[in-house]
Parts: sequence; C-alpha cells; structure tokens
Amino acid sequence: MKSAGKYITAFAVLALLATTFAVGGCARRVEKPEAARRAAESNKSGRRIAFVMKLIGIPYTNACERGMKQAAEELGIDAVFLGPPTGGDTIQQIAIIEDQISRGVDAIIISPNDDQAVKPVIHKALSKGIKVFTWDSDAPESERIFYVAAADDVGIGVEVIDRVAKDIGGKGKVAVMTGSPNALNLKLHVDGVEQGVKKYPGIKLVKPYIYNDDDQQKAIQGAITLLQAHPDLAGFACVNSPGVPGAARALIQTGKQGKVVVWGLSLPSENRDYIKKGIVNGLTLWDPAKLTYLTTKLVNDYLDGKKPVDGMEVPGIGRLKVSPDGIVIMPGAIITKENVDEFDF
Amino acid sequence: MISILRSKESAVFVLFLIVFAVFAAQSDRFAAPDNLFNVARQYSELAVVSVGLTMVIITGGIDISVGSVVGLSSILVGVLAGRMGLNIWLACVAAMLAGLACGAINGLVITKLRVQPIVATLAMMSAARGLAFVLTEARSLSGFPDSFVALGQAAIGPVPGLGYIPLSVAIALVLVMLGIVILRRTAFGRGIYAAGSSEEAARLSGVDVFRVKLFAYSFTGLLCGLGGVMMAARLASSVPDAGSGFEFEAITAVVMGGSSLKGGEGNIVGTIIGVAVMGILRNGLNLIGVPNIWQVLFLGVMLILAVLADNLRTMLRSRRELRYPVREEPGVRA
Repeated sequence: MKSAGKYITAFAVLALLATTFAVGGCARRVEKPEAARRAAESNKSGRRIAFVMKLIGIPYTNACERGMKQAAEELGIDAVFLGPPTGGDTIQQIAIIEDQISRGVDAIIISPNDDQAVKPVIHKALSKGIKVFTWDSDAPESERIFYVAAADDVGIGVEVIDRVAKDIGGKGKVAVMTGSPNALNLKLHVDGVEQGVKKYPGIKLVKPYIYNDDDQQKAIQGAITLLQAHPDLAGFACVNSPGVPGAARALIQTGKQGKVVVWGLSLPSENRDYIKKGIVNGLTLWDPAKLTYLTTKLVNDYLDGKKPVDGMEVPGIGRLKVSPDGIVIMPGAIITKENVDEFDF
Repeated sequence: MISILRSKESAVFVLFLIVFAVFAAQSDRFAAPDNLFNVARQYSELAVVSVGLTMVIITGGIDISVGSVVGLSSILVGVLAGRMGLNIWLACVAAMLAGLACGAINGLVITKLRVQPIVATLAMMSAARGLAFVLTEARSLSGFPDSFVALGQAAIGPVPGLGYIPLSVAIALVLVMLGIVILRRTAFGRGIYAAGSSEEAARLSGVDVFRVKLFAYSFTGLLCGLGGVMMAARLASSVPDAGSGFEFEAITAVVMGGSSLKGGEGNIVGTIIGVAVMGILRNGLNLIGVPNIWQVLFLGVMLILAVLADNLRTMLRSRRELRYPVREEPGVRA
C-alpha cells in the first residue's frame, strides 16, 4: 500500500511539473515576441525594471501594461508588469516587491495598495541600491524618488463632483463610489469630492460610500443597494474605473437609466455604449497606457541621470507639472458623447 | 530512519526538492540565502497558523476563519496601540487574546452547539473580517513605536552555518517544535489523533473529545492572533485585509503535507514542508517572470492534486484491507 501511495504522489509531482514547464514556457513566449527579444538583446545596459500594480487583469491595468511595453520596446530595456491577481491585496503586493528586490532589478515602480504598509519594503529596496518610484497612486511618506500622477489626485475628485453638480442642477443626493479604502489615490479623489461639494449647499453626499474593491460585481451590487435605499438619488460620483460601468449597469437593472447622472473616472472602452445612450454623462480621465508609458520613460531617464523638470514638454503627452515634493503631473482629459470615439483604450 | 523514508511527509519533501531544483536551475537569484530568508519571512505567519490548523484537521475538523482572525488581530494592534495609545506590548497581548477568543468561540460552537466546523468557521471568517473593517472603517493604521517596527525587521544570530535568521522565522520554528512535541509526545496529542480517527472509539477509550477539540480550535485562534501581531510588525502597519487567502494557503499546505481531511492522520513536519513548497513556488514563479495570474491557477491545481492523492491513498488502503482484513489497532480506524 505504501508503494501505491508513492506512485500516486510521483504522478502528482510529474503533473505539477509538467504544468510548471508548460506555463513557464508559454509565459516566456508571450512575454518575449521576436521584436522584443531582439530589443532585449540589443539592450547593452541590461537594464531591468519592474512595475508592481495594485492588481492585474482588469482593463485599466492591462492598458497600463501596454504603455509600459511600448516604452520598454522603444528604449530597449527589460520591463515586467506585476501585481496580485485580486484587488486590495496589500500583503501579496509587498511579497511581489520583495521578490523583485531579490531579483536585483534596477528600478521598481509601485502603485501601492496601502501607502503606509509599503514604507518598510521601499526602504529595503533603496538600501539595496534599487531605485523606487510610485505611479498611479503615491506613498508620500515613503522614500520613493518621485511619483507620476495623472492630473492631481484631489483635483480629479473636485472635477468629478463639479460635473455631477452641473448636470443635476446643483441639488440632490449624490452617491460616492470608490475602490479599496486604503489606496491613497482613491482616498485623495474622495477628499477632492468632499472638498468640491462644499460649493454646492444643495448637494448631500450619501453615506456610507460604496467600496467596490476594483470589482465589477461589487460595484453593481453596491450601486443597486444604494438605489434601493435612496430612490431619490440624483447622481453618482465614481472615482475608480469599475465604478462607472457598475453604476450604469445598476441603473439599467433597476430601470433608472437616464434618470440618474453618472460621472466618474473610467475607461472609454468600458463605457462607450453607456455614454452614447446617455446612461453615463461623461468621464474625467487620463490614458493609463500613456501614464505608464510616460513613467517608464521618466524612470529610464532618471537611471541615466536625468531628472524630470517642471514645464518639460513630452511628445504625445503634453506639458508636465513637477512639484518640489517630487510629484510629476500628466495632463488629463474630459470625455463625453461628443468625443468618446476618439479614445481607443 | 526507515520509518522517516516511508512516511507520508517524504512525498511532499520530494516535491519540495524537485520544485527547489527546478527554480534553482532557472534563476541564479533563487537559491541565494538572501532570497530564501526573504521567502521564509514572508511565509512565517502562514507557518505559525498552519501549525494550529494541522491539529484542527487531524481532529477531523476544518477552520476557514484563520485568515480573518489574523486580520482582526493585526487591526487590534493598530487600534489599541496606534489609536487609543495603549502600550504596544499590551496591545499585542490583547490582540493575541482576541485571536484565542475567536478560536475558543469556534471550538464551543462546534462542540457544544454541534454546528459543522465548516459552517461555524465560515461564520467566524465573515464576522472577524467584518469586525476588522468596522473597527477601522476599512482603512489601515500605522504609527507604531520604532521598537515594535524594528522587531518586524529584526534578525537573531549569527547561527553557525546560517548567519542571521529573521526573528519571525525563529518564532515560527519555535512554534513548529512546540506543535510537534504536543502531537507526538503528549497524551493530548494522541487524543487529537484518536478524536479524528473515530470520535466514538476515542470517547470509549477515555479521551475527552470536547476538551481536545476546544483546545485545537483555541490554539489555532491564539496562533492566528500571533500571526496578526507578526504581520503588523513586519508591515509597520495594521492592514484590515491582512491574512486574506490564508485559509486557502494553509489548508493546501496541510493537505499537501499528508494530513487527511477525513481526520486521524497528519503531522506538522509535512505541513511545514507544504508551506515551504507554496513559498518557493510563488517566489520562484515571480523570479522567473511567470505572470501572477498564473500562480492562482497553480495553487488551485496543487490543492486538487493533494486532495486527489489523499483520496486515492485511502481508497487503495481500504481495498487492501478488504482483501487482507487485518485489524491494526482495535477501535482506532472506524
């Protein structure tokens, strides 16, 4: 009976290893098409950088990855795009960063799930000579070198509530939808909404806010629950990308499409139909691919000894704002029915 | 020596060696002591929790609330020390006691109210995580004294041949030893195996099944409390979703290590090797650049394979026992 057990275990081991090799092999094939491999071979510096996102596998982060790959190919450097497979997973994200420190990359660029919890690991990376940056979301109290932001984080929140306020005529109940409560960029967007709403005494923000953890299903459920609790809801102010389509689907499911205003931060590709049908009034956003493209270039420049400067013009991106505390701001955009087709991401 | 080679944990050890060798061949960074300690540190909390979970699984139970209790404990450190200004060490003790309380509630609900373990701990899983979120409005807390944060990064040693060992790894090792001693050398440990093999038989032979089960769940709760404290120190902040996914990883490690979900068999050495396999697998995949989404698939495949192997082993054995009806120890196997 012992030997039978051993055969089974041996079989299990073999099956597992077969999967390992299959996945390892195909992952490498996916990651390095011919052009990229040639680029990597011509990469004399052997420079390697790693982006560590809050999570991977949603359209927003896929767009980020695309931008990184484009820049990495142009620059001839090796860049990887990593992150936990589920949203809000601070612990996994830190483990991924630690593994990249072990790998000995030249730079790590993080969009932290938690701006406090990443402080020790950022310190550890810097102490090993690895340059650390943030993009998409910041960890201002850490020792990161600079932060590349899409528009300023508080300003985005103000913009969203301003747009909602205009479309609902300055009065009514407004729901706030965000992702993980610990992501600093989202906290700042919400702060912006709270600051901006002070201009409109007729508007009341509905509490509690909806936290969707960057999950489409949670966004829809949260919005439906809220619509049931507040039948007189006038608008949604959404500050993360699953929020807007989540609110739109909730409105369709409850038959309230067109009766409630929706503005937020999201991707045109996820909302094109909703915008055209008037369920979603508009989006305030940036192109995440461009943001990551820009970040890759700025990090590469920094490794070459060139720091970003205020007023710097970047082809295809626009004029950058750089503040003394190391925040680089990329100009953003407003998307409505009129111009939604100009955006292909 | 022979018995070690023939034991079930030798299978998982072989798996460990193979996975290790594969990654060592693929990445020159993998086998560096620096990286291995990095993995050990990341997995020390899971190792601590798995020691308790092994006992629970040997009693024939399950505890899927472990991750949430780790999260609650981590948050309590932050709420008590960071927000309410309590002494940090008192806060740590309180957080561990809260873990113990969660475990004891699990144990009492399962034994006294006769609720199935998976349902009872499912409820605790949700309640503890919910409480962690409510206490902090789902935000993380920080601002711990430097002495506590330093502890999370501390290393002890030098140990001959190994250099400096991260403190959290040392703590995990001590608890693994303790777990082994409890299971192998005490009457209580034998009671845990007996309760899992056949509750009725155990009861007839004088084992206090109620106490054994209550102990297993409470001890697991206490270890989760400790895991939460260790995580708060390592991250220098209290994260409400700390430990999420632990239930899955810990159960996978325990089953891979040769414990049977049907109860009555298993051991901590196997579990710890199981934890190590999970650790090096994830780290190795990261180092050779396999996208993280694939890792979820891998862990799932591993759990299924481990359970399948366990089922097949049981099936083959019962078939053999039918052919050669030999009773090994009367009353131990139902």
